[in-house]
Amino acid sequence: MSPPPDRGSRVTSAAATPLLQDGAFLAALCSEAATTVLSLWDDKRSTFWRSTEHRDKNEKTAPEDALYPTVTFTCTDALARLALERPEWLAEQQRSVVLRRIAPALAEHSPGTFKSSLRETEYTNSTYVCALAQVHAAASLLAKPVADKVVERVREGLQRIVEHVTGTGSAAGPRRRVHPFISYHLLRAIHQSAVVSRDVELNREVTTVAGDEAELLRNTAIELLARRQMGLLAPAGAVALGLCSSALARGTTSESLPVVLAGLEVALAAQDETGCWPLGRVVSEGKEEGGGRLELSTFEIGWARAPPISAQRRCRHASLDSFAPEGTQLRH
Amino acid sequence: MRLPAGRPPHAGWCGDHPYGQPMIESYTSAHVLQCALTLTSLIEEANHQVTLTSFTVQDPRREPSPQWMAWETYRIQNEPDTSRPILAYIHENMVQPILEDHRQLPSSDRRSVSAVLFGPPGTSKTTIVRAVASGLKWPVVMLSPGSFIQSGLDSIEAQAEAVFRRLQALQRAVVLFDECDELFRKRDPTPHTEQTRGIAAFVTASMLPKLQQLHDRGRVVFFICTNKVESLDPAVTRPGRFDHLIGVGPPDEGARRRIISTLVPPPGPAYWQDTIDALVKSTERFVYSDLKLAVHELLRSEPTSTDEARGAVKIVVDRLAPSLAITADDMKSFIAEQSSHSYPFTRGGGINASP
Repeated sequence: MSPPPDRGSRVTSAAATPLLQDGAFLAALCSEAATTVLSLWDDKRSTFWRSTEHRDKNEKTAPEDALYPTVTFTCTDALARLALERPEWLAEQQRSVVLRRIAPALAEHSPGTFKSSLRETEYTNSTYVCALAQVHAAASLLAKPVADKVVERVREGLQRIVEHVTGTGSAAGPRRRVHPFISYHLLRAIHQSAVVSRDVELNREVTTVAGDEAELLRNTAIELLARRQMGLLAPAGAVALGLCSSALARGTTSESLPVVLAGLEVALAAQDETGCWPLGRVVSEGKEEGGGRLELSTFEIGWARAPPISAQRRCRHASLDSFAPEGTQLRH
Repeated sequence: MRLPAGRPPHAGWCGDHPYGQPMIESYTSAHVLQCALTLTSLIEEANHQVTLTSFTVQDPRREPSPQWMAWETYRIQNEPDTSRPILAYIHENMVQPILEDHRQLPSSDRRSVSAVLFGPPGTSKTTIVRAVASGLKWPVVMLSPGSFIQSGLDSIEAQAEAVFRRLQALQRAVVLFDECDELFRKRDPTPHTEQTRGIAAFVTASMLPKLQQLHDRGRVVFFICTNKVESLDPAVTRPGRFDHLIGVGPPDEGARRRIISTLVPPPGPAYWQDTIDALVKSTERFVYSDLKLAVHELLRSEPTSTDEARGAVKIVVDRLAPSLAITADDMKSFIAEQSSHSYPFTRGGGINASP
């Protein structure tokens, strides 16, 4: 078996650069990543290809309405965020594609109609709602019918999430225990879309779901922390604990703060010297009935560290040293 | 991951599962993008926090402002110019665009970054800035001449460089250059000595690009508060560095009537309305604190008729006039400064909305 291609080179080169002073490095990184993602957009089918290999193999034979939902929603979320937060890091033509082609296309999909390789999971629905919420933030840049449709789709997406979690509606049946990775995205979707949905009754249900999910996560985190205390925490447990911390940090309460901070500490300690989580990135138990496996990218785990770090800062529990060049942020 | 020439993308990222199969994944590359954006935000957030500690700061989130200074309340109750409201102007042109911005940031394109507030002393220029900060829920960074000369006049350029470098690290903060006229003084020849003029010109020239950079970055809102706008170098107040030039005068008649009405315990005697009218008309240079004192003294004199009340107004006004914060010369100079600008200024305040 050949070694993994070029896995750590970018992380290593990042670690050599004092990022606190080097905004240009991050700007270049974002621009390059955006260009890469945009190159895998199929405008005819309004979907993103999973990879260059996926495109090469399927472009001629895939149906015209082919949609690869998880990857499409994930890419749309990231590009819409870039277009809004750092428009200057995108070329004008790229920004136009994001706002005029990719973002409106998202509202054309209805939850329940898309099927991913993960089947229709809470994860896919959550990434869908997250992407919609991100696109909604750009509502002023979108045509009104598109913006209105986005709001409606968020409502549908949240409805679907509630059905999944409560085992009602089209997702009738008991819910399997999910990996904190799924819960993290589920809570992310709920928090990001909180200002979008105008359905009072649904919002009440969503709040209940979020509270229950947070309670579950808190218990899971406490269990994992106990294992860590006994020296029994596997690398996968550290990643899971970090995700619990990230999910709980989005609505930090005084009750969850100690768990958030302890989870963050364990997750950061589990990184290797190149900034990776070499073990424990495979999520299988959260795949529900879909089979197969989902491998989290190092960057996704790193990205998820942001909410607890922010919570730490907000609550003044952290010294500012945690942001020092050789500290936390280089591990992202 | 880099791929050989062919269809783009030629560079990007992939997970570590496709061993031996060179490919670029959109999913992983999207996470790189999210990670880099998040890292950028965290670094900016951390830099902002660290930098804030190096300044004198009033943070409405940590030390809540008094209720009267809350922007919504303040701009309604303290409008000094009722015919041409300047607080409403600041709200429409600076505060509201920022609150409506999806990033909650000012924009040099939308001219919501900076303003010069000029006017006689005691006209609440600093308070207006603090009220704006409360409306944005942002901290106020207070800069005085001392911030620039604390290492001595010889080091003023180095100190200014350091201050502006730190200001560039801030985001979502209101920066107030208070009484910093000397740093932005007009470079024209003056009757002063050549040496003094030379230093002033040097300092002003060095400030211009720094102000420009701060403005173009669009991460903070900044104000200069000055008593005499004419003393500032025209290059400072030029559009591009300051988006708005706003004259803040003492309360006009309408504003004085509103202030006095709030200071008088209702209901007054029948002739009291005439007394208020007389007081409103004869208190042209009075600011809020002066009016408060005038009403207090008027009530203490306990007039029993219209004539007595009018007489008491004259006595009180004559007694207070010499000690007013705004002298007759200040007022004359303010009106002259207003009229020297092309944009029509109003009596109690004015706006130079640069094209």
